[in-house]
Amino acid sequence: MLWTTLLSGKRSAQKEIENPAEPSFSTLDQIRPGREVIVMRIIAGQSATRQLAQLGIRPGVTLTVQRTAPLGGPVLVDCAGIMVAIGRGMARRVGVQIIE
Amino acid sequence: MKIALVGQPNCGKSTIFNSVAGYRAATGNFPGTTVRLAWSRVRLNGMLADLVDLPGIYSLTPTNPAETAGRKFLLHEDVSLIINVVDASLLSRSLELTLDLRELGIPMVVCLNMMDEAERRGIKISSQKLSEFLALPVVETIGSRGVGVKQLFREAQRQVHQPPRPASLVAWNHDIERSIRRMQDFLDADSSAQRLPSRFLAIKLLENDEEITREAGIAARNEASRLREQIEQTHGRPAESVIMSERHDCAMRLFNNSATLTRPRPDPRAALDNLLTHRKWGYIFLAAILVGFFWAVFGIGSLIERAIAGKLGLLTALLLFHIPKGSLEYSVVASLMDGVRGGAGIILPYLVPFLFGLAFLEDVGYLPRVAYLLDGLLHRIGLHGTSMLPIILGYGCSVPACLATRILPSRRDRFLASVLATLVPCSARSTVIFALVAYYLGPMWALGIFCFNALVVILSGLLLARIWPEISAGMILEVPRYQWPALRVLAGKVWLRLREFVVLSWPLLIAGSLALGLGARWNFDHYANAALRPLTLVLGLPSSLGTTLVFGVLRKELALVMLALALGTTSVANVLSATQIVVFTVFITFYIPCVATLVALVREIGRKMTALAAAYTFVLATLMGVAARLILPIFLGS
Repeated sequence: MLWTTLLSGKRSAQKEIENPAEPSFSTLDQIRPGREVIVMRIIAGQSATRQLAQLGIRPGVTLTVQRTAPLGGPVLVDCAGIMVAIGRGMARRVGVQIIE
Repeated sequence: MKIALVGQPNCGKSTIFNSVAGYRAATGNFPGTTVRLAWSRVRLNGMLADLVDLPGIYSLTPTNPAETAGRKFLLHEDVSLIINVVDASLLSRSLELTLDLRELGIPMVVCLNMMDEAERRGIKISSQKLSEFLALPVVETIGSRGVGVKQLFREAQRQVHQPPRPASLVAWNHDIERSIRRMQDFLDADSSAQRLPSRFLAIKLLENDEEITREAGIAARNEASRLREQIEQTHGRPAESVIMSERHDCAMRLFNNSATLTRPRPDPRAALDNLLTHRKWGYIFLAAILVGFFWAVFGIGSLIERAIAGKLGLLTALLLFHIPKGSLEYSVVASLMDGVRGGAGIILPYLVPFLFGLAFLEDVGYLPRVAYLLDGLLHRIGLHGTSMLPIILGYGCSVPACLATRILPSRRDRFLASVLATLVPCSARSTVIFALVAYYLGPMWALGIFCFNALVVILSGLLLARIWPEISAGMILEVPRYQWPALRVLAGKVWLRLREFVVLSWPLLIAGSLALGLGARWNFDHYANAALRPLTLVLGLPSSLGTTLVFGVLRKELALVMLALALGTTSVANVLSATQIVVFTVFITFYIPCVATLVALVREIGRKMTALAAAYTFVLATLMGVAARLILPIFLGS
């Protein structure tokens, strides 16, 4: 499990370049807890993109949505063993694809 | 000689720092940086060095002012050695910072910390291989138990004059490497001498780093943007994203070559998180933890206060036994002792458990969970979860809270958070609430004041957010795993804050007490009180309390001791009505932050905004005081 999570980074990044027009993107805020997703695209400002990347969240990596907070609160994701809370507004800018 | 401890947030840097620095640690401003850094003078085999604990940074491309300050220190402070603390359980991510740091060309030791945690997660690291690949010495440590720290500093000693050697495994993709070289050649050809390694500058220019780009010459800037475009064309995405992935791949390669993975052991802390960040239970536990914290501080505080007060009273009586009443000596000794008693008998009993509890919550890693839980709520008042961290720190002391707002990238968020953080009762103000309201009226009243304060903070947030509307970028916050903090680290932290009280406020308290005592003797206080009569009149307080309110500007806890002095008695309840006690406390809690906080605010949000904030809090305090004065008698029936 951990292996695939750690290694999937590069492989899926290449996949994205080969086929940039992936048909069915969802955004991270729509994902139900427990689901595993691949980050496809992040459409945010330079600073936010950098911040996410520093925590390991960049196109191509696999995330597991752990839980969401009520009242439009953040999404808690597990990214290769690192827990990151992402505000709902920011999660809306992260395009993902669900791994079935 | 300066040695910098550098690492990503929550890597256990401060634990390593504390185990070396212990009680000698101090915080101080360094020239060129405005951030207060913890530092300590350490002896390395007879050599004296300043060990500096830098704030946690994820990379050398800053995304908020705290990281900017940390990088500035590294770039401009003549650091002789970097100790890069790495969380071994998050090795691949942490190595990205290590790779960035290597480019600075400063001698460096990698401290592979939290080895026990890595093992639990099934990550087996060969530090020898890692050291070979990085061409840097690597020392394994378990900071929380002090394992390996001695070896770390022995290695540091050995490395001081050894800049990093080139390493084979950290080479980048050919075309990126070529772009870096070209940029580097361009910079080297530039006649103006640079202090920083050209390779580091070249990489940062290609990454479109704001500050470095600004400082580069026009020609270099143009060359950089030309090369960036080139990279973007060949790779199909922005140059900085390409470089970041390169660094990431590099770190991953290092990780794969030096670590093996086995089955992780189950982590009971995951179950704890299921509860503490639960959609429903999370909030119930949050409330329970806060109320429990409150009861514990008050319980322990009043226990100590009772134990100490009698003994100090006895000591004072003994000292005054031989001095004739009414003489100058009597006034001097009596008021000096009042100051000493105020510090030891009223303030310290509450301050110590409070600081301890807060440091515990901070170090155990609970605060990011609070931020997670409250983010949704905070969005309604125009803030987001990350803003909660400085505000919670405000319960300890407003000064570090103002500094902590630097973790917020947006200027507007920083302004809001720092104003709200100063409205929150700091430990000094909490002392007033505990020792005055809880002690005389009962703990429920004190809890009421805390809740009332929280309400006012929320309303102020709503108001300020309306004045300065902006769509918040939203929270991106790492939620670290729970860690049981070492007692040594907690004690070090508490002592760092406590020392401020002992060396700064306590003497001020004693001096203030003396001034008040002598003033009363020669009737000076009369004039001051007369000048402040409009205020005391509006608030419905005895006019003799006018001066005490002024002392609160210096340090909030002064107001409390001065209150007892001004009234000439320590049993306040005999002189003031319940309403007056509450009005006094509410006013002290809200009005203009103390001098130290004002200075910190000026530094963070500027003079004009600080004046505005001070005026706002003064008006707010007066309004709240008057409101309390008018409303409370209805409930109290007096």
